[in-house]
Amino acid sequence: MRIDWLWLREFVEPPAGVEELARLLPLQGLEVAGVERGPESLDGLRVARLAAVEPHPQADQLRLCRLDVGLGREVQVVSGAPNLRAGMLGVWAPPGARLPGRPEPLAATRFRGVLSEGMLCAGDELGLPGGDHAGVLELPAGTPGEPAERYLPVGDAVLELELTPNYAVHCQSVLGVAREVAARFGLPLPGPKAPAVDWEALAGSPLAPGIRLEAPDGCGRYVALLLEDVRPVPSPPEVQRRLRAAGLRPINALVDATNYVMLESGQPLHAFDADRLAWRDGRPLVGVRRARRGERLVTLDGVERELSQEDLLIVSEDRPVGLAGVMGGAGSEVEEGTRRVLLESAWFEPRSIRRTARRQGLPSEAAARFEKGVDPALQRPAALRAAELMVAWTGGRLAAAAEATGRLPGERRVAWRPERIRSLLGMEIGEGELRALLERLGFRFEEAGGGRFLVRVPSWRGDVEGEADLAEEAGRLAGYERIPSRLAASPGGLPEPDRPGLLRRLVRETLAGAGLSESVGYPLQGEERLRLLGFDPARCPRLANPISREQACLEPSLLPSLLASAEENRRQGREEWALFEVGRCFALADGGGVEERSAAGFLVRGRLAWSWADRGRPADFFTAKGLMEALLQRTAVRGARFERGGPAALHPGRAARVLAADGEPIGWLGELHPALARRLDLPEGMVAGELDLDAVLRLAEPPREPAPLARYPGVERDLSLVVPEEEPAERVAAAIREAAGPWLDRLFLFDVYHGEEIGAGRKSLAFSLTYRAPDRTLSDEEVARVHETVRARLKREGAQLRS
Amino acid sequence: MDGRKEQEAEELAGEALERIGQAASPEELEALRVAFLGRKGRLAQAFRRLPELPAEERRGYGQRLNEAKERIEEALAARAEALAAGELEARLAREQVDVTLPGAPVPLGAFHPLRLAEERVESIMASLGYEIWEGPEVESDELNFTALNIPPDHPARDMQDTFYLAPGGDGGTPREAGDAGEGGTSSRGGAPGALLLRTHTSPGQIRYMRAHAPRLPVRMISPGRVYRRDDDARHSPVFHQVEGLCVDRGVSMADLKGTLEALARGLFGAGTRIRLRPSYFPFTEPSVEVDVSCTICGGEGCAVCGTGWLEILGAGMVHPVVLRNGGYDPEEASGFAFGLGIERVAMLLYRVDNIRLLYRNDLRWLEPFRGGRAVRAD
Ligand SMILES: [Zn+2]
Repeated sequence: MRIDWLWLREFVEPPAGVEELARLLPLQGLEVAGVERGPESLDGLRVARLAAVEPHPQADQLRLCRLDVGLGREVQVVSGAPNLRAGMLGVWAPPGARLPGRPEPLAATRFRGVLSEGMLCAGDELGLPGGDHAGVLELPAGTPGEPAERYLPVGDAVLELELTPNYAVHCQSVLGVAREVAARFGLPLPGPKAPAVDWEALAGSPLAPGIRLEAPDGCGRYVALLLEDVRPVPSPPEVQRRLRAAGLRPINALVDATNYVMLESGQPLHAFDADRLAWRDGRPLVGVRRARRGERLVTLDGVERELSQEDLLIVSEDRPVGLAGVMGGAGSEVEEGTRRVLLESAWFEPRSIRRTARRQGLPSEAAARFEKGVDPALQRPAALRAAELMVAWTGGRLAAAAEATGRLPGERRVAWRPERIRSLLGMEIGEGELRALLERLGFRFEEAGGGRFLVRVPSWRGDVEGEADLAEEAGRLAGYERIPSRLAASPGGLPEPDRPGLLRRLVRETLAGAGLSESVGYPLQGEERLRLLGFDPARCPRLANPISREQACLEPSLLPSLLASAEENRRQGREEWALFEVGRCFALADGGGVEERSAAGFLVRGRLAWSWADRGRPADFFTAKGLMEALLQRTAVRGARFERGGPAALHPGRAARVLAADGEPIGWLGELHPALARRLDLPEGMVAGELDLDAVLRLAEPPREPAPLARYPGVERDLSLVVPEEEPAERVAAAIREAAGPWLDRLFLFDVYHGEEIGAGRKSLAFSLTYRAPDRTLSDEEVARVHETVRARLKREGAQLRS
Repeated sequence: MDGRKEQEAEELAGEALERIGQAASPEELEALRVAFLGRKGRLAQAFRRLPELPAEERRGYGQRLNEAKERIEEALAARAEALAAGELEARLAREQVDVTLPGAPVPLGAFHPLRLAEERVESIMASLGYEIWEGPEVESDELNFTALNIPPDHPARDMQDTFYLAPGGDGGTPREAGDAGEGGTSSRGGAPGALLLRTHTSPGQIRYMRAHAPRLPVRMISPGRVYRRDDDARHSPVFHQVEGLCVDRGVSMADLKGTLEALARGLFGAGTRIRLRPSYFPFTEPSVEVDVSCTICGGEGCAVCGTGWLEILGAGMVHPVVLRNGGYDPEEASGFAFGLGIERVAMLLYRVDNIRLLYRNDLRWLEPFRGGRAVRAD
């Protein structure tokens, strides 16, 4: 919302400059995005009368203007403006004058051989807010030779406001902002400008418009004025400048008057060419109804629109002539020949307007106000003000008036409980002051009997509903800096521990401690990419309105995000990376809906650590498994197993699923499929893993009571055996454990060997076994006996024992 | 008394001592020990000849030999000690390393600044007695909007702001990408049962209150990922917030101000000031924007802040409608809530000037966050 400073001061005279106001308004809730300042003075510029306009001998585009610049002196300037007219008054900048935005004083210049003694100025050359370059600025009055600044809006500025939705209800107008300024300084509250008229006489005119409200729920009030003998001439230059300063395009005085009053008061208006409406019994006809199925309307912008049955229409004897509150219809608008105007000033139900504007993609200035709810008391004054301006700018007269009412919002009253307001604000503030603050904003206090009061909310404050709103109104005017800081001791005891958060932290610290850096991923992925990574997009939650195809699904795993991070690092020329993320992934739930789970994922390529002393080892399957085992140990998940398998993104021979003790899959890990790396244009040799942290939270066991420390020495024996390559080491270990029985205190695989001497397709496993009894020292014979049992068992199972 | 024999013992000792003094290694010393003190050594030979001597000579000579043996033993011990000391010194000199060579690396990953910032907020609020609690990212239209007093047709519900989920549950049916039309709108958005990606962490207020009502006090913060359907240089469609909620008897804006002041000081240093400005959120009334004095210029005004103030969070007194929707009677309890953007905090704490850096996970950029920034308080 752009508010013109001089216009604002027609309503309120604040004891502060525009800069000071720009600083103060945000502290009462009106965000100021900026101040656009016009010139403070235009010293040296003179009023000039255009005595004659002649063609330029050398250039078709230019004219020679003879200017009367006072005291019988005439000068000649060259101008290319299209609006030059003998007799008009303009602003003459003589040679030597300084213009805003020009570092050098003006010099006499020759244009195509003809001397120009200074120039006739356009609005933008004077630096005026809303000044344009469409032609020379025409002055409304003045005598040649007078200082021009007497007739120019010097010292003007535009306040650019960014209004929150609640302030948009009552501050989308000069009047609304003026009320806020008046309240700030305790000045009398301004009201709408409206001429005094004999309404009864106008309403009693035989020309009084006929209004038919078929949708009283959509239209609370409809005021229609009929003006005669008006003309669509250009509106006064200052009006045009103000419209432009506010961001609107001047059209003609009739349309401009409706826009001017909208900007001034907040009430949108519409001017129909009354002669293009239906008449009956000598009266123009208007009405409001909902659109019918399949009905169409061509709006002012020339677009034919298909209407919905929810849309509110302005009709003239049933023929649609406008989309109520949003845009007028083509075919009834003011045009060059218009002499009679039917002026509409209405209150429309905000939600209906909002829906229509959204559905039709028409965010008009009118809709922006109607959809917030305009002041329901404003229709008649605003219409009369616009009529007054039309008559003043174009001639003619206000001939007749009519008003019809539908369902209007009632006056709101809120019970007055100052102690509640005080306790909400937490501020030391007396009842008298609270009342005074609210009264400054237009709230009124009414006795309700028994010493109780009701607060009547002003009609323009549709955003104020209850006590909390009153607290905000009083508080923001009192100033929130008066609120003290209080930090109450916590009587509620300790908060519940955040177990998921503690788990995430533990996991993050474990992975960072292993050399992986934390990645924060982007969970929206394209179907194509998910498919490429081997995930089934049909099982992923999908957005109804994605920004793009590439961001249409919620990822089912952290792997896609982590790969994106890897790609980013690859782009930076890196060959090695170690990344982890702790985040959420998503899946469609069986019964509909979405399942979210918290997971930890990692993606490593290359070495986690290396130096001149130890060249390190590129990550492989066992790196991934080591990380997974570390996570399981840190998070106290016991009895987890690994079995071959895992997502399609992994190398099928170098991938494992992690199963909880009860067999439930809780994660996976492995080397990425070489074909996948190729498709992603990433180097081979990446390993990845993922652990379901929700499952971990369920499975993590409380710390066990520690086993008593061994009191008797153990005896260590090694065992080396050769088995077929496909024999899982874990099965061999299980056989050893079973055969050794309770004296086996510790079993440790310390070597795996492949080589010619043991033959192809075979591997050698070397275990270290520690035998120990809890209650005595085992004798050599006892150890030999049990160790022999183990050897015998392994032999029986086909293992070849090495000495 | 034959002085010759005694002279002989003296010479033996003298020779031994001299050679011991010249011994250059433990091995040489050992050879000398054997040569003089061994079973077949020279002293042993001399002792063996003792019985051959006359009785009167025997005593004096034996005494001399014993003295010589003691002196040789002492000399051997002293020399051994000296040699050992020298040997140790030589070894230490040999074993010297270049201390400027890099150490054997202990792998050390970095934490992401967004998480570091989030953790700082969490730890400050936890110390004020707030429970950390997380809600789902896929939320119902009802909890994300309606229950928070965001009525249908409120601007915040516009399809261009909210990601809605395609109606689903038909997990087995393959669908083509982009069915819904790119950037298209769907009339389904806003249906009461519709699922969406939460646009803020505020639905956590309702979920937490409903789980706790009617118990008081309620003190909760809820960090998490949120989604908005806009994508430009200053916004990402995915970002992070922390929601805060405090409900109790007699909670006022003074509590809001005190708590947020404590949070701001915990984050940005003890000298930080805050300022409340009236604002608007549908789920709080009164609503405020909270500015902190600029962390860069200290409030003097600089290129980053302009005015000396930085807007970091929105807050307000919980709207009576929201309290009721959470299961609390606004006549009994009141509360405040706030929402803080983690990106903003991370950018201020770690002087990040481009928000995109936060989402790239560029290791060159992340690796400095191995350092002590997590523990520094200023
Ligand atoms: Zn600053």
